[in-house]
Amino acid sequence: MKAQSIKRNEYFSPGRFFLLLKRDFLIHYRTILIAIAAIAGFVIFSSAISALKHNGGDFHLKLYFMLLYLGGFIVTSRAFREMYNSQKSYIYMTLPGSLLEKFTERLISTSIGYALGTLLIYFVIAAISESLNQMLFGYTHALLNPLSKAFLISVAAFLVIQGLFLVGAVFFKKNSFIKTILMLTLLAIALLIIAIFAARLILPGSFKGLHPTNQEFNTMRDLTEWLGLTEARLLLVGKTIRLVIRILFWVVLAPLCWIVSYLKFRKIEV
Amino acid sequence: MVKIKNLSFGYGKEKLFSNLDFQLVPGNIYGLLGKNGVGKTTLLKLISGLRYPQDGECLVLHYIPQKRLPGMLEELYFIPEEFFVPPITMRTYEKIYAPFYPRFDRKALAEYMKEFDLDSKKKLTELSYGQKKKFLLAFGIATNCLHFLLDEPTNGLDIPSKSQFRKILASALTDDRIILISTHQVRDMENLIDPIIILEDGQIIFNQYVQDISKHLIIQMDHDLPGAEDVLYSAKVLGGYAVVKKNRSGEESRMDLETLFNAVTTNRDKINELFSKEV
Repeated sequence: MKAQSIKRNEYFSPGRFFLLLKRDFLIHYRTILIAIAAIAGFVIFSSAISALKHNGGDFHLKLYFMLLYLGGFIVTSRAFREMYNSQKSYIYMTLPGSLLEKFTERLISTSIGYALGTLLIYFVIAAISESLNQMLFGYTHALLNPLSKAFLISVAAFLVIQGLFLVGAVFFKKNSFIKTILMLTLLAIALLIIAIFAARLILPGSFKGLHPTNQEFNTMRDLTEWLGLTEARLLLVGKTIRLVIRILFWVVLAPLCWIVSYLKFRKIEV
Repeated sequence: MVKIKNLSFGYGKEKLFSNLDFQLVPGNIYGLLGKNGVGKTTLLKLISGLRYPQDGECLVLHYIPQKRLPGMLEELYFIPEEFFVPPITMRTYEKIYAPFYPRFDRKALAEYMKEFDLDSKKKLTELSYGQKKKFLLAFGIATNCLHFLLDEPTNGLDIPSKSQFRKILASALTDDRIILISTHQVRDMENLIDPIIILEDGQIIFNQYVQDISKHLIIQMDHDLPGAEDVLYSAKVLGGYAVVKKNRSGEESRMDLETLFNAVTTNRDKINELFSKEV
């Protein structure tokens, strides 16, 4: 009966999805335990040093985000390493699970799964370290507030940017974390160059080479003159551009990265 | 059932297969033979969906392998020549992977492991290459998949394990199952593989049942260099000559896969002509 229900859906079965999750956890649980022990040691030690100096009110917030962002991007970059190892890939690729199930499992475990898992673990470690700080130094740092707006926005930003590293993980066979960072840096440089050229085109008299000639130029006045718009209309254009950028970042970027990654994931051969 | 029609594949500009045509029917243990680099492993990868054909069609049951749908993967188990095993015990491996296969037979796995003298509490990474291979073979057979693909399965097995392997594999063959073995170790496979498929120059140059082969050909050892009449192949070996002749008597002769392989690759047209006349 169970076998029949599994066979019914060739594209997504929650049963197979959880089997894949279970497989990943059981194969990597030792590595996870070692990572938790290393993080616990580092947090307790650095928290004690900070408590000794009586500084850093948002100590745990900063440390958690370092763990979330840096650790999360490294973990994401390694998400598809198994598929690019000729000796490992055959087990994973021939494992009865659809491509969608395999991709979703890796996507969820490296994004929401990682964020929630690290939050839970970090919270426990922080509570232990602050109890020790109270006993030893009579000083404690504030614990994380996972319901604060700033916290939630930062986690949401992680989930969006994580998509870029997922693309890197699928496209780069080796050293995908470093290569993704390199690609993003090159992209940032390219955008900066485009922005400089655009600025020079719009405000030709204000630049000599890459340097502004007049430090006190009035951007708003120069722009309204160049575009032939009123200040109110220009502000509206600015607001619209800002809104488009926000939509592109918060709504479009992550799903676009997931789709691009999935399409490439489907094409991987051994 | 595996159907391959007009399949073409190559690495870069180099073509490995062009318009490859053949099919595998259930109830057989196919032996896939060929020289190094002829594409035996690639063919297994194409069938299991690990590689995508550049042209033509490959079907496993009614599935296109490159779609890697669970319905096909539940019915296909592939053991490559070189493989990785995770650092977990055999028992944990079974716990993790067995639920993916709907007809997995835990009892059978325990029996095969006993036969292969494997302790399920041991970590896979602590085993020798041959032991790892025996475990994967035992696990693969216990999945009860309809398609079982093996690349050089006897490499790394000791002498008793080779005969255990033959015994277990022969007992695992059912009417609805296809077992495809790619190998160079032809001596290990004698009395096991049937039909024999020989791959060369991107084509299947020979695909015959053992019974038909022995009906058409006599493979024997002669002390002296035989005369030209009816001889399709001869080679000097220790103690005489390995000879392949036309079988005029119609009586079934003994099988020597190594000599057959050499005969087919050196005199393929004449040998195939012999079989096609019958058809």
